Amino acid sequence: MAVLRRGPLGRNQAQVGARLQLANLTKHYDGIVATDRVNLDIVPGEFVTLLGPSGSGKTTTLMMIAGFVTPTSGQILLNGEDIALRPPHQRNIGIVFQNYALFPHMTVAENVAFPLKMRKWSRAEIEQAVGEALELVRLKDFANRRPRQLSGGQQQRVALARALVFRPPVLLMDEPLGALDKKLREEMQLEIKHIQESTHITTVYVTHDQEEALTMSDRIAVMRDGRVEQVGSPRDLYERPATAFVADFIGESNFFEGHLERHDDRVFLVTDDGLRLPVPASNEIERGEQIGVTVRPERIVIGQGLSGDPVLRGTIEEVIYVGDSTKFRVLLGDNRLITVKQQNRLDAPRWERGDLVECHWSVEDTVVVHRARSSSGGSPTHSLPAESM
Amino acid sequence: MAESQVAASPIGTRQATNYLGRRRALRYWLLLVPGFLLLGTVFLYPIARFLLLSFQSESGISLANYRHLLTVPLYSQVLINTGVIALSTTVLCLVLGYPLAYFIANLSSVWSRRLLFLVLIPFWISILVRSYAWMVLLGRNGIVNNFLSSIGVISEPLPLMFNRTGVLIGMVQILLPYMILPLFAVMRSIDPVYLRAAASLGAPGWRAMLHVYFPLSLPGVAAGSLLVFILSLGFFITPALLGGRRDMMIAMLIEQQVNQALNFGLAAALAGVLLVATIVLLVVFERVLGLERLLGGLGGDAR
Repeated sequence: MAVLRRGPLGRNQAQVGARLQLANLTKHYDGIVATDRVNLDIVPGEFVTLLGPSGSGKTTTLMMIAGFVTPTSGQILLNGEDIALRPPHQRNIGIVFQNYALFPHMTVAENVAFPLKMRKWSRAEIEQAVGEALELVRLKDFANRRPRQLSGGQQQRVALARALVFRPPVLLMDEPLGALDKKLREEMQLEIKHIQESTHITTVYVTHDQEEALTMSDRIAVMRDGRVEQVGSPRDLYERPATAFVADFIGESNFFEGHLERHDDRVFLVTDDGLRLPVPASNEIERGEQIGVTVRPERIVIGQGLSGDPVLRGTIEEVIYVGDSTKFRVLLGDNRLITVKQQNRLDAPRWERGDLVECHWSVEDTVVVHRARSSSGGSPTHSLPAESM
Repeated sequence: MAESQVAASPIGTRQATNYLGRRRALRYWLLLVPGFLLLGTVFLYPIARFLLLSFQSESGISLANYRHLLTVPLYSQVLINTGVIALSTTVLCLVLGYPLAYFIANLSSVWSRRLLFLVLIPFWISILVRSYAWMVLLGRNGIVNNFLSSIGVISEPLPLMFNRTGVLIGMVQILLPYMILPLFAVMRSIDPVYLRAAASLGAPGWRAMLHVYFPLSLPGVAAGSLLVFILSLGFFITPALLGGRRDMMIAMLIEQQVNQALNFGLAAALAGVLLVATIVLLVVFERVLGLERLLGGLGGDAR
């Protein structure tokens, strides 16, 4: 059991979170595999996000760490100790639930004091700790209010205070910002991140919002169908997605599939509809092997009279104005649609539907992905970015 | 129609809505008139006339009957009995009903519907029949006593009837659904996430029940208790059939005064006391929980 340190929250103490390891964590429900040998090693103080569409197993994984779901097999090691079979009330883990789960019959202060009461702290200790916790989330004046008198954002902060007040080694958060509007969500993302950084608490965060994951996490584990597709820092995942699914789920991407050809010492990917795309030479790939590459829409340049390799000709099918940028759907050839994103600078040319344009991107922005299937399992000749579910 | 006139006029929207609202409201009130008339002639008027009798006695219009009630031990004892029996019934219903409601509320919706159905079946059997059935069960030669002596547990038949025990057994059995249903409705609406949150914060099962679940179920407890108590006050058949001399309740006394002693003044005073007590309790209920809970308790929402 983690040692309870009754010191002040949020001050620079040597308080470090715990190391959390998930080893081959598997959960079967009546023939359905919810998680399949999930492995994750989270270092003390790290903020890791489990990111994925619904059904990916991210919530099941979190619930197993919390103790509300018993794993079919595998281990959950908290500082080396396997807690996989321990009941939830003995795990000493702080949890922020999706709908906050603040006890409606208690005041804010009583809610935050609850875990301390369960641990039989003295009244003076409780009062002090509750005060500090509310201070940390900037709700000190709301101590005597009832949850129903608070806004969504405020309730969420109380839930956070309640989960942190007993100084757990690990904090779990289950899509806590889902119910908030965009501006508030973005504010809370930063606030949570700052609190997490100042308390050094190891945090596992679940969300399906990839922007949220990119903003807050030290590392992201992208999950799909019960498995971890890729783990990495936000930058790693965005710039070097390992699979088409990850490339699609995080940001948008244009996916091309084909076989490899070598000419001189350059490697090309040749698609079924005849496109020849240069591929970074550093990968060791066999000639003729079927591979896939993705290109981020913002890396593609649209213009006329472009030079370089590749230069693909197409027609603008759709113009989508997003405020700070514009997205174009460009039809290459007969039925390949790609997405290009351009910053709305004053001097940028305003393309319109039907314009004939050329598209170019540099070979460094061509990312090889190791699994040729896209998340929708659709026909590989379409470079339609698959919708994240 | 008025709508088009109003739309065209320069009057502000709020005034227009009020105008329409008033006319609509008037129409709805008119719809209630037949109901009020019926209620008034068949129910309110006779009761008012009857209650007026309570103020009439040999010494003219006065509170003599009420004073009689409170001072003569024979009658005041009945009032006390009624209160005690109602309270005991309520407590027993709570003790028996809470675990059962909890159990049913935590089943899948298929199974909870089935068990709830079983809870409701006795409603379709008249109280008279059920009370008689208890007589068959609880008598000296009744089924319970015969069974217990046949397996050798007792040597003499247990006194289960014509006493407080019999009355309480009968009343609890009859009133239990009135406790279970509001409890169930409230418990059903308690989000299981609260118990999970409590567990995550360090509360083992029983502490989570005590500090989180039970407080959240209190509206159901209050609704069920008040309902059972109010209903118990007016019980007649069950205590009449299953009770002894010391178990006389108000309703039985009223019957006695009307049919035997022909003392309408006293009977009306008793009825008045019962009515006032019930109204007071209902007002308390309304203030504390809202009347929707009483009615909604038989299938409504707690929050």
